Amino acid sequence: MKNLILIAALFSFNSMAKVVKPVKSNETKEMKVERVTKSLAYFEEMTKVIQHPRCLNCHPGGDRPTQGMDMHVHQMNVQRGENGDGSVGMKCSTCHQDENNASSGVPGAPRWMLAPKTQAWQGKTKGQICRQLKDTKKTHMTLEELIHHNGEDELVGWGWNPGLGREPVPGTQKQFGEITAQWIATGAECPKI
Amino acid sequence: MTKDNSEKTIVSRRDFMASSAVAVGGLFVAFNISPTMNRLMAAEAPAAPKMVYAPNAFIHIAPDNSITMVINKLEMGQGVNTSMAQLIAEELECDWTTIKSVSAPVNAVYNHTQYGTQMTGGSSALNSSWDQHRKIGAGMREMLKSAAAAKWGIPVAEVRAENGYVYSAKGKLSYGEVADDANKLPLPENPPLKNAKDFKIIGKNLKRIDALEKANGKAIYGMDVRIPGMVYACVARSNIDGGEIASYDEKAARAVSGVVDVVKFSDNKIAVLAKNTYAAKTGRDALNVKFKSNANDNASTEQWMKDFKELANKDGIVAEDKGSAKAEYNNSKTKFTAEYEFPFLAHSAMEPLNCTVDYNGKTAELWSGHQMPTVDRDTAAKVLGLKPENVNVHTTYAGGSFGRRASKNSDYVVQACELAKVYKKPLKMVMTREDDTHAGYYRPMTYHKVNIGLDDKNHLQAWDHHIVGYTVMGQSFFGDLMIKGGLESAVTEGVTESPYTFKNFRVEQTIPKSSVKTLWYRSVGHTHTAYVMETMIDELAHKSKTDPFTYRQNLLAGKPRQLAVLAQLKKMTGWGTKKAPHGRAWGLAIHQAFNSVIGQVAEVSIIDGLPHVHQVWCVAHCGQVVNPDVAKTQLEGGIVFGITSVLQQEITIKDGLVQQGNFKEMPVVRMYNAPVVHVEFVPSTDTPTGLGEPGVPPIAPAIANAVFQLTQKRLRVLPFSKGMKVV
Amino acid sequence: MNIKINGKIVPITSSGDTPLLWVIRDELNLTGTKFGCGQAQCGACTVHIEGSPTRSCSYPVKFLGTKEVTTIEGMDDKITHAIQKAWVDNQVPQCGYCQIGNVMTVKALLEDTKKPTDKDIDNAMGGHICRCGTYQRIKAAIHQAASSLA
Repeated sequence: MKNLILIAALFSFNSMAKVVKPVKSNETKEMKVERVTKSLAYFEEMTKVIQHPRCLNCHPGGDRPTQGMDMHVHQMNVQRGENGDGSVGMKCSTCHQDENNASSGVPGAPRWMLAPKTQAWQGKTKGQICRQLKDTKKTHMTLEELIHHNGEDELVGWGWNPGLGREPVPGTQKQFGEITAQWIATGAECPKI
Repeated sequence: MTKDNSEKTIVSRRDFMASSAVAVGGLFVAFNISPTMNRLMAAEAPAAPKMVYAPNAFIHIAPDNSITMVINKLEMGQGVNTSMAQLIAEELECDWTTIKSVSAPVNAVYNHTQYGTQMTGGSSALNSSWDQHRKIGAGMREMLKSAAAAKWGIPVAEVRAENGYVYSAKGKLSYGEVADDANKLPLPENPPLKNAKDFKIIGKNLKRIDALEKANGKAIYGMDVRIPGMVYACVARSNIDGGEIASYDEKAARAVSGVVDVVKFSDNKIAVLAKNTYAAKTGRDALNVKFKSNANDNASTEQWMKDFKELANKDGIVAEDKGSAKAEYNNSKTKFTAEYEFPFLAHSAMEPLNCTVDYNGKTAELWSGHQMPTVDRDTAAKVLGLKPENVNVHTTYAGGSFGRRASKNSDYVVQACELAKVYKKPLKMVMTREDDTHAGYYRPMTYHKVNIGLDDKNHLQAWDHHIVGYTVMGQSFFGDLMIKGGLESAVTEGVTESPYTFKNFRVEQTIPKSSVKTLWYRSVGHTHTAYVMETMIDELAHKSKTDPFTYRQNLLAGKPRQLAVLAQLKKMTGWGTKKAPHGRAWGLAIHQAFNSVIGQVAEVSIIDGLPHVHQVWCVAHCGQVVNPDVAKTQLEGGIVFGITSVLQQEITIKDGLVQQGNFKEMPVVRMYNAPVVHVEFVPSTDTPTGLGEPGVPPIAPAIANAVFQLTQKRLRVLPFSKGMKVV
Repeated sequence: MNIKINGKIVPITSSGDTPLLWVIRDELNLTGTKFGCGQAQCGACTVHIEGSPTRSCSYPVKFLGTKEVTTIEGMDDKITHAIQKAWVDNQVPQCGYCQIGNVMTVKALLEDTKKPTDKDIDNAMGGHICRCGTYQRIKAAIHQAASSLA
């Protein structure tokens, strides 16, 4: 949280909800350096959420989700399945419902499922994750849609409301959406590594 | 009509029907027993064991010729409702397809023939009932024949019994038609018993009597018992017994929808009673009970293990001393010390502990999966201030036990009765999974220190062994009976009286006082002793560059059961000629427990940093096998249970609190990481020996020995999840 | 509140946050569905909601709306009977406490997958704990049931 607020102050962007703007063609070298630096900084902030175990757990490298802050393999032999929502006989929804369950401790949010394999984050560098987000062959979302996904999607939002003493991801979902928008507005630059 | 003080106790059919005890498909079957017997049953300690011979207490033949077997053991998965009935049915010459089984009420006629109290445990059901139950079946058969002979007016020698009917030249009568007359006849002293070669029911793969009702949801467990007006109770307890209640929020509990009452029923327990279990649990949690500090506030298993290690350096009580182990150890060319650490373990049966009580001030009815019904009844009577004969115990199916339901002081029955005594209305006390885990009665944590001396050829010269661990039998009247001169065999069994020939072998035992309740757990002391013995034997075989099979065979000369098991296991696996597939290894272990000898070879690889058992070959020598397929299930299940108990499970205590609660903190082997188990029996017609437990001990060392093949590391700290990180 | 269960609409009085398990067991007295852990860890409480296996201990009854619940008591069809026969033939149940949950999942598996592989079975059944260790017999029984339905 602290970090996200800090960076917001640092760049003091005035139009938080600014949508994606194409990079200006008359951009000077200095302007570009400043823009790229900002964009990379925004992405760096985004990775504090993206690379948090709460988010990584459902963006596994293989076909098995992980659990907990230690990211151990999900117990019970949970598998991705054909549609990312589990196996026949054991779907995500066999246990996970639309809300966190206070009595059983089972976490829940609407459409509980794994991110597609093309958006695997575990075992990837920040640069790889970043390029993957923009790769139209690998993502089913436009960058515009990504802003809404990060800022408003209920399943993504679970990260800030994980329930039962679980550590939430930093900041707020609104901030995550805004920083995503800023990253895109500044050219959606990706770190090399 | 009732006689006692002899082995010829017979109960008349009239008496049998006189009082209510067991509901048999709408019929009430019961019997009376003399006051002397009742006094025996009421005794605190078990009565002197004897083999009661009372056919009509065990067999009820209805007029329609259907037969109900009254089973005096708890059906907790091991198949007694089928196998015990098979013993009787074999001699009774009845139609197996008409047989039903029901659980016995509490009565001395149902006492364990070796322990003198009604109970199930020690893998002894078939062993202790082998003579009794066959004699019961044969006695009833002879009475049925005599009754028919009398009816026909012919000598009994001209009557034959077969498949539920008696036949003669005069015709055919069903057992049901002559059962009333038969039950009035004197008991035949020594009815002839069959030879094994003539068995038609014993040794056959008959289907479990309880299988269908356990697949269609009709089987009733303690948790399923419903009585009119009953409420559900969840109890707040201090995490380790001891702390008194300092404060609680009764208002918050009462505000929970469905909560009926809040009852503080002892210094350290308070119950929330409700219309359903969820409300009771939610209300209980809302109490937010705070406990006063007590001596256990700093309890720590980590500290206790450190204490154990120090104690192992001091003198213990000598449990066995062959040759001169200490001197020869000092004389050895090569010396090494192996230290093994075993954690507390919780039984975690699938059905969490529960007890239903209907107490009206004068009498009480109890329902649960009672594994020691006499002890449970007498303890309940004491708590409720009733005479034992005014407490009626109903034994339902148990959703597993693994020793836990044989609570040596009836802990959860006592809690339910203490609460009922105050509440005075029907209730079911339910433990949540976490309550069940926190309640204690664990497999004791134990530490082994083994000093090994080798000669100049790396052959064993001296074995000096010290076991430090908490009591199994103590903390109850069993301790007075079973702990002699401070020696508790349940702590050392499996190390002491080893079948291996050792020249210089010494075992010492130290049992520190425990502030945690401990108990027997499936295979008791063998859970850790087999591990130490069989991994060390493997280590010694390796050091002397001898094949593990050969090494064992050399040390087991003159032990026919062990040698037979090893020979059959070698043949079964192809050990020596075949090899494990690439990336996998085989490990061997053999162990004797409950008079059965079990050998196992485990095929293991390492997956996700833990041993993964792909398949297990298992050979058992357990005498006559009564139902081979059911017997196999005990070994298959014992192996899975054994893997779970060493893979990731442990109960740890920190700052006086148990750290685990539910299965996610105590991972259990599931289908995807369960092995395929191949079982064979050594053919035998000896009296059956134990099978419920002995499948457990060899699997852990077999896995560890395979892990050594894969990693060249000896795992000495359990569970493996911990041990893999230590080495 | 009314819920639809085993083909009937029944009124219930338990509060909406009550897990479906306890409504089924304690209020409707259908005790075939078992309580094992209360955390969706063991699978003993599995029922079908609109035909999908669901851990009833972790499903607040208020979520049901018009969705239909089927418990073991409401299972009376060819697939279920084939499963139960296979359970008996293969001597699957020991203590039996977990078996109803297993049967419920297997019913869903066989409805979808006519001839499941060992892997299909491992993937479907991973949510069920059997402390008696009947896993290999469950697997064998699933294969038998599938063959008998083919």
